[in-house]
Amino acid sequence: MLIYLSLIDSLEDKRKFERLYIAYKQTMYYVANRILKDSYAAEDAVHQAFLRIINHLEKIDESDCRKTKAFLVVVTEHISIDLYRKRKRENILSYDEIMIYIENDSINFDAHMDEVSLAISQLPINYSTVLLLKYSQGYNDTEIAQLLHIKEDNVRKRISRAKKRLAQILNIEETKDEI
Amino acid sequence: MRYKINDEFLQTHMENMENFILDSIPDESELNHQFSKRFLRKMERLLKYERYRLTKHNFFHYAKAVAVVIFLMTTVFLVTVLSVEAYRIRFFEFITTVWQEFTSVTIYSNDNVELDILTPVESSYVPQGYKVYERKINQYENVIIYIDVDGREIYYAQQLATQSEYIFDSENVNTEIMEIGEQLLYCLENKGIIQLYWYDKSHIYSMIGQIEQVELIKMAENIITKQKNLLR
Repeated sequence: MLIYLSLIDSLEDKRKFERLYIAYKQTMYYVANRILKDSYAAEDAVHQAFLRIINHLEKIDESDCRKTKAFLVVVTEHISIDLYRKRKRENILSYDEIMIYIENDSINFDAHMDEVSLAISQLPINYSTVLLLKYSQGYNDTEIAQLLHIKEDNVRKRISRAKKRLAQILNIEETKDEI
Repeated sequence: MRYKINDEFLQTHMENMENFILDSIPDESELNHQFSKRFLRKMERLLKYERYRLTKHNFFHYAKAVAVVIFLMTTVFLVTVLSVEAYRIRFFEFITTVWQEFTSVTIYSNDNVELDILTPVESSYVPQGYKVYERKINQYENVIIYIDVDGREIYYAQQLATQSEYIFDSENVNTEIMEIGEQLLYCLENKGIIQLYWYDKSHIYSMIGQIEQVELIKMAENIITKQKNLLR
């Protein structure tokens, strides 16, 4: 057993990173497996997600459990989609060109959502990830770029395209309503 | 168009969306995936690395940390179980040949866990403007972090030779071997950060800081003298 871990003798002593691991690894696995549908790959995604957040721990506010959980879910989803894309040999296209939607039978969005939320749920995952990180989690463009391993320009492009796409979807729905 | 997609609109609705997503996920306590040994092993390494990284504070630039971890996961992770003497030779042979990459060395000996005793020693000399910020001591290591008013840190660690771990940010470093009396001092410099390493028959020492090399050497010299007197 590793020496350092053996020195940890109480929950209080465990650092934030370890607390997150203990508290959310099952949730992260669930999210990853929902996308990848492969236990082995889903575990890889969870591991990669922890690697990804290791440099952003100071921004995670553990007192707000839902925010923390949402952040980990968003990061895990992003990484899982990336893995999925690679496994499906779709990486010949740029992320921006791919319209990936999570196929998720367990979520019945339509039944509970208002019109705008439903429209957001129809955005490609790479667009909604950036929007969630920026507008719900409060990360700036630089931080999002670091977190997702993309360029800042790309972050701005995705936000801009997401807004346009959202406007399109809402307009279409408005038209439908009017009809 | 009924909606104006501005920041306020998105803040409100993305928070709603986040809640929908969270509500679609069962509670952690309801999930019971049995993680594979492979996953648990990888996470153990990562957890260990994180604890190490925290003690190093900002000496490893954050942007590089992920690269360090990935390197650890995929390349060198050396576990050596050797006598102290044999270990020392191998250790420094090893680090002097891999300067150009991120390097991790972990050394521990199960045989000596109960026998090795750490004799803590620290420098009486502290560079002007610095004071002790954090002190951590256990049976394997004695760590002191000094900090100045601008937040610059000096990290000092004294570890049992047989229970040590090192992760070197050794990419493109300048290296130098100096002598203080009979003691060899290994000096690495990279992007203004000075790293000093030396050892005696029981301990390995490291002193790292974004400070003039001469200041770190003064601290090292003080420790070397003290330890020499203790061993007499």
